[in-house]
Amino acid sequence: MSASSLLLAIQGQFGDNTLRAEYESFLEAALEMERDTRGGPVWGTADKARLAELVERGRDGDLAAMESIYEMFKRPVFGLIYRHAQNQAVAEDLLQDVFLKIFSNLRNVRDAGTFPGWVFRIALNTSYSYLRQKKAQGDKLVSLDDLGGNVEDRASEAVEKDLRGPLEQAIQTLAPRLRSVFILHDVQGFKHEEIARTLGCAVGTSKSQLFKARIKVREYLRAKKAV
Amino acid sequence: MRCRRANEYISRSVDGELAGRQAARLERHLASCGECRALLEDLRKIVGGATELDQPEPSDRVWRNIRTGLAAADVKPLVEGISLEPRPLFGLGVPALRYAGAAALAVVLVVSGVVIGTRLGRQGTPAGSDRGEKYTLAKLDEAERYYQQAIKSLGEAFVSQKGVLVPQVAELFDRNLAVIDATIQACRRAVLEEPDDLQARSYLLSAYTEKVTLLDSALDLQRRDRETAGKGKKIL
Repeated sequence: MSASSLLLAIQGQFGDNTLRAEYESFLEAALEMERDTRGGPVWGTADKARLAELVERGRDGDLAAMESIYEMFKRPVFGLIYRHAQNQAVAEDLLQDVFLKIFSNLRNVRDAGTFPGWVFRIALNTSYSYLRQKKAQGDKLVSLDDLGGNVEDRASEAVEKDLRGPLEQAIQTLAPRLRSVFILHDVQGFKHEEIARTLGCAVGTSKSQLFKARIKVREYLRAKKAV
Repeated sequence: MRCRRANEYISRSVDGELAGRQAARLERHLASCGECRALLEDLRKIVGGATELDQPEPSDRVWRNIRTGLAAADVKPLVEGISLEPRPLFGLGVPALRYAGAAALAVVLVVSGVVIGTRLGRQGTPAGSDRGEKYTLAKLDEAERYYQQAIKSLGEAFVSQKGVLVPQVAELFDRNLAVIDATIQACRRAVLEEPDDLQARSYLLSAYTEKVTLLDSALDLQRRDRETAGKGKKIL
């Protein structure tokens, strides 16, 4: 039984809506990946031939191939998750969860060209799911993980005249969807076409959300007199 | 051109997507609009700053845990009682290490259980939550048993190979283990005092996770040290 099928089994037993929603969003991402095949690959930055070979080997259970896939994606995926979770330990747990989901479902990947989009979609869905759970828990629980190493701490370490600290804080104030678009485009350098595929929206929506995100970031920075 | 349209052009201009007539129209607007000029300047700073943000790195433990989780999928037949040819995990031919996989399964159970537990705790509706809470507690008990098995097996493997480690490293591991053990004891006391306290149980299971991760790291280090020593002998 794979980790994800175990999750599904547990959900059925518990009848828990949060987990079911999480798994459904994961399945939705998997289905979306299948639909993406029609549009062809758009991830120009990935080494497609190498990735295709790694995915093929990973499907056959080649651990070294999986590790190479992990190495290939860990930084951008972690960057995305980290800026949603705002905590190193939590982000690492989520990253682990994301890659377990990916590797458990690698056999469903038919086109390596759509693989990166699928990876980021799972990362986003996992991040959103975490944010929903965190919001549901409210301020009642303070995890030990929340006591150190968060983004705000890091931001305050940045040199004051540097924009990086306030900018990190500004990103945290964005709504999840705007935050995702801003991180993917402005921090990680993805194209709107790639973002639209990942988020399952139109390119125009990605552009307008980026603009909204930038305006909100600017408002925050101006209030802090950082720009 | 109105400012609203200019704003759209400004955002595209920052991304280098504006050219020709549109760029010229924006230029003309900017010449007469201070607010839009300020917006353009700010957005350039923001976009420039965003590209310079630190790229956070995950620690090595993440891949170790993923690998353990993947191994958990491989030990399924053992869990279900079907025989399987023994094969080494993490490069070690120690059968006991198969419980590391069980620990990863437990992690999944724990995460699910704790999430549900905290939700149940919050709901406070006695009718439906009683049965769910009992079930969650039972699952947490099950997860705890997996952890204990995993820790026992990993601990035995670690002790049997301890001589491979450099003494200072072994001492450091011992010290860390002692700290984690103390945490486990404290969490256990809390659980014994309040057996139905899901939060206390989640902390206890987190402490178990830490111990499994530490032991796994130790075994990984032992394996690497043995490999290095092996290569050294071949060269000699």
